Amino acid sequence: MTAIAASVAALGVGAYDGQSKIVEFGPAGQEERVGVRWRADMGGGVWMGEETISIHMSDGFTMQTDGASSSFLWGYINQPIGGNQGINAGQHGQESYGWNPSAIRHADAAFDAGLSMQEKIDTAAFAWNSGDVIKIATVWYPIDVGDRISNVIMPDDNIGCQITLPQTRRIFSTTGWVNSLITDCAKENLMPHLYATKFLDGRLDFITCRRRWVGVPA
Amino acid sequence: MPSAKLMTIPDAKPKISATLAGLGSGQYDGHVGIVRIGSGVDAFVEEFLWDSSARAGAGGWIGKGEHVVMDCVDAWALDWTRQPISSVRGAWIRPNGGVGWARSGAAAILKNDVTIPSDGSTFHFDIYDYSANTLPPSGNLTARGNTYIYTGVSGAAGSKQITGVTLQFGTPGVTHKGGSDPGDYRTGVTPIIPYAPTLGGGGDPGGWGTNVRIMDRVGEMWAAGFRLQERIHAWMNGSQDFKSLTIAPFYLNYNLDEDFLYPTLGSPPIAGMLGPGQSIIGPNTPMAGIGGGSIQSVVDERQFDHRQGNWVAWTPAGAPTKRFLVPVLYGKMPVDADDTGQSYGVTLALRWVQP
Repeated sequence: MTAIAASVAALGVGAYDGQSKIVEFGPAGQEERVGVRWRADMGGGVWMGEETISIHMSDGFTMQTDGASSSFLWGYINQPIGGNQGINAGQHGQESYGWNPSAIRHADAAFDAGLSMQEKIDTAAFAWNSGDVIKIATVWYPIDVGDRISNVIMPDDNIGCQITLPQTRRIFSTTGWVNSLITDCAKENLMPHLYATKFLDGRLDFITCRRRWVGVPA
Repeated sequence: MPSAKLMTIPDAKPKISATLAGLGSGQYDGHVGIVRIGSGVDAFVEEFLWDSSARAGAGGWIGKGEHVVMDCVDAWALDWTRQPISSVRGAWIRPNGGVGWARSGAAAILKNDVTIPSDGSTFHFDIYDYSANTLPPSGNLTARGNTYIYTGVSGAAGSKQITGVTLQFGTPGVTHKGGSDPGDYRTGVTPIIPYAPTLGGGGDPGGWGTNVRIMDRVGEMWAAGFRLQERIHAWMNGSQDFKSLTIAPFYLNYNLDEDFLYPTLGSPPIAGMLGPGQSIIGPNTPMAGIGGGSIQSVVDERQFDHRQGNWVAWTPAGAPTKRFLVPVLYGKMPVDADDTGQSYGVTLALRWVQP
């Protein structure tokens, strides 16, 4: 029985519920290894990887988008509101966006191996003083060595998972685990970013974005 | 050299259940137990390993996953300097602001007690100004929980004053210089810290220095029979008046569609928060500062000692019976403290276990 395979197809079908295997992919000497377990309770069965944090947030930031600069449907969340007098700017003045992304290495090879991505967003957030339906989303930048982050990316084409915020009330929300809209990657890596629909006048706390690899045998 | 023995690990199928009772016992050390709650793609999954030595040898399931629910930004230490001293004496309060390593700024120490007028009229601070950085000639400053506007700095070293001061936000009344003169340069420990109003106000992008991750499906795991263990460690130092800082997490616990209440920085833990969790106590010495123990170390990041706890059972009063769990860091000082300590590199992890 093959415990390590180079593709989901080679893994085949699990022999029993909870069986553990490894998918190995990527360039020689730099292979990625994703542990998966057979989930017999899901349809015809799937190989499910362990969850990983893709974005988490610094406590003390409440975020909003800068509507004036948002020329896309989706805008970069670039106006963090820090805690009241959080940092003495005269001494320190650190600035940041308040969220922490973790990139995926060899994402292209993962998709080529037959894996697909699932995502989940948990947050406490609400739209504030806005009549619009407000959404936040993970936006994945495909990146290679030498690429530069710029503002010219069209986030609409790179949304992975999105959640609609409740209006006027700040409550915990979740997408639950869903299939990511990112189904392929033309470059080596994927880098997650956090976006929101433009003109957001809302508050986002504790955003926690997770991902996991899933393999569905043919 | 440690002895080694050859072990044959059986490869039994994992045990799978929605409850602790359903898992029963493992067949051997390292046997995998899988808890699945719900069905389909959104089923919650948590893996365990059987440890025959757990629970005083009775054996138990230990969560495979160490869920790091809080860690710190590696840019500044957590600081309680801007909390009113009355809020930290024997009471839990959140860190308010940070102090960055090697980002020494202008600062001073309150030399004498001062009465802050309640009618908005102007007054002055008598200060010790030992900082290597010059105080701005005018601007805004903080002194514990209050913020002020000032228009001048006058006098020679040893008799300096910050003049034209008016209360911007905070509480009028007596602000004590604090400190009991432990025998060196310190005759006061209440810091006077300038800040830029454009960043120190509502648009301050600094954050509080902790990173948090929401833990999901907590109430269901609790109902399934599992319990949490906590483990926290941190770098810590004490106050200028030689008192120890204690830190501990409190937890928010919410269900979907439940209005989210979050304590402000000036608020103690609010009703409904679970805590305190595992506490660790820092050293009672302030440690040397960037300036080699100069007075500026009151408001600069100082050296730290490492403190840590081991895995212990979840200690907060009350059970996390709701779905989402989020930690919030709090600290407190002894009731006779006149100053506050700092903490850095806080890491808080949780794991599910068989109780």
